[in-house]
Amino acid sequence: MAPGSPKPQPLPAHLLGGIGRWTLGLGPGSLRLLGVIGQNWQLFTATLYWSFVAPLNPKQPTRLRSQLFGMMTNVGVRSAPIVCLVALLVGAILVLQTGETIDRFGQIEEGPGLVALSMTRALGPLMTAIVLISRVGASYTAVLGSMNINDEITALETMSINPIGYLVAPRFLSMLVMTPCLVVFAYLLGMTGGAVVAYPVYDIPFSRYAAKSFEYLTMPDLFAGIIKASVFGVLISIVSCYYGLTSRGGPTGLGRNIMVSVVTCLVVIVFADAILTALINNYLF
Amino acid sequence: MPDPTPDTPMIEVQDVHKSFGPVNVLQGISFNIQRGKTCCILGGSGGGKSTLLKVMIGSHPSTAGSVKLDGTDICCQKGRDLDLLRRKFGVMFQSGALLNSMTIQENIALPLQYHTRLDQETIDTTVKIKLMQVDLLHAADRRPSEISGGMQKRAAVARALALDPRILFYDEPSAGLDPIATSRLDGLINQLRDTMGMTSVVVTHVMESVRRIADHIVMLDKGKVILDGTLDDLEASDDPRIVQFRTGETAGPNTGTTSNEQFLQDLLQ
Repeated sequence: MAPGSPKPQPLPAHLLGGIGRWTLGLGPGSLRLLGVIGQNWQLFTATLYWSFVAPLNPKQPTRLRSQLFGMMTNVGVRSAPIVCLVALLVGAILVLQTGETIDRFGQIEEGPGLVALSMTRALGPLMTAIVLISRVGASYTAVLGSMNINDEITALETMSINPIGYLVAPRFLSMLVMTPCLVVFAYLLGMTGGAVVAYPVYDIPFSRYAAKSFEYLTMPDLFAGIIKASVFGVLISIVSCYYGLTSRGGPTGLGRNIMVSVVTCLVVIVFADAILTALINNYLF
Repeated sequence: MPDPTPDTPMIEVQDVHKSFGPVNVLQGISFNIQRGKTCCILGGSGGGKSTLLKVMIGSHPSTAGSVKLDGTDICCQKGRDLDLLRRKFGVMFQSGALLNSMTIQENIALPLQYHTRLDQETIDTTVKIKLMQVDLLHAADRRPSEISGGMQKRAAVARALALDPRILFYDEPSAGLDPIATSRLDGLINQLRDTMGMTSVVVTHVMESVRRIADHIVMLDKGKVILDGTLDDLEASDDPRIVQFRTGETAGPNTGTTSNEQFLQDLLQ
């Protein structure tokens, strides 16, 4: 150090302490996260058993069929209007946001293809998943959580009714089946939304819009979105049911778990989307 | 599996321990309950009676010891064996724990639809009989949120009776009920014992109820049994902890406080 240069100031003790505590906290925090992932995996495997294996065993009582219709109606039919509305608007916004730039290069005629590919490969499944997280996932956590707090789940156990078979399996199956169906609606409504805006703003008639859309779309594009939607449906149902079944501490604990469930579902879905996009683009289609 | 005979106790609790981390909630609980008798488990808040009930119904595994229900140790059972054993008893939870998404009738029909191959007509008839037993036939189509607390508890008893169990567990049946509803529920517990020979285990801290229904009393304090006897033994006991519980005095060993006179004397010393 040159003579006369200022001495380096030591770091404040509280800052060092903070860094130390943060570092020490990494270990237990990581272990907790691993524990949560492990419990979700256990719930997933048990749900697979109660959804696909147990119904085949005549000695194992399940009441899947009687519950499934109502649950599927809730996930599919009742979510369809909001999924359609969101997809319609997203399609319209896509045309408005990208149209000007494409038009500058004289390629506005290719706009429908851009909307079609965006809706099928990325935005359709993602927007559907976000709607289902807020509408269905949050309600799964709330319902199972309040049942847990009111001892209803313990009551089911004492009646020899497995809570995973009775409560989680029908929710899982209805999400697994209905999410891809909703995504097909999202494809159609997204493209319709684009067409509705493209006609008055860029003078592209509906027939030309549709023809251009289908010129770009291939079957793999449609399947890519459907595969993503099925995985999203599984993830949303398992994560939201997990946070419902682990709710503790009365209304405050339940409120916290609903918040954690929604945030976790969103993060998990975005991660899954990134991984699936890489896998599908490189290995499948 | 041992073959239970009418002379053997219906429930045998042997040296049960239960710990949550470093806290020993139950410390070597032992007692027997005879067939067709009503046993009240008493104790102040935090005494371990609800934990003991959860161990007895197989919701919490015990740290050590055994709980034999009709000769079968519930602590050793898992999976399908535990499910089969659980069909021998019913549980009425403190909150009733009826499924709020269903009507009372559907709640009672649920275990029958799940565990029997009865046709819907027979199930409906069985549900009607259970509802008549608890005097709730008029509320069959209502949801739990649409009926009073006392009715919810009687509906929970009807659901617990659905599979014709031999043992009924009641967790704080009088909690949140007015004296008339409490008395009515106590009458139902006695009626089930007298007409069906039901063995009942009632966790409570309400002395009026205990005097009406108890054939056998087990009192817990800090995770240990301090009384295992009859109502007469409870009334005759001069253990200060039992005396304070019986009389409801605020000052005494259970609350850790002293009487006003003693407090003044301690202060002036």
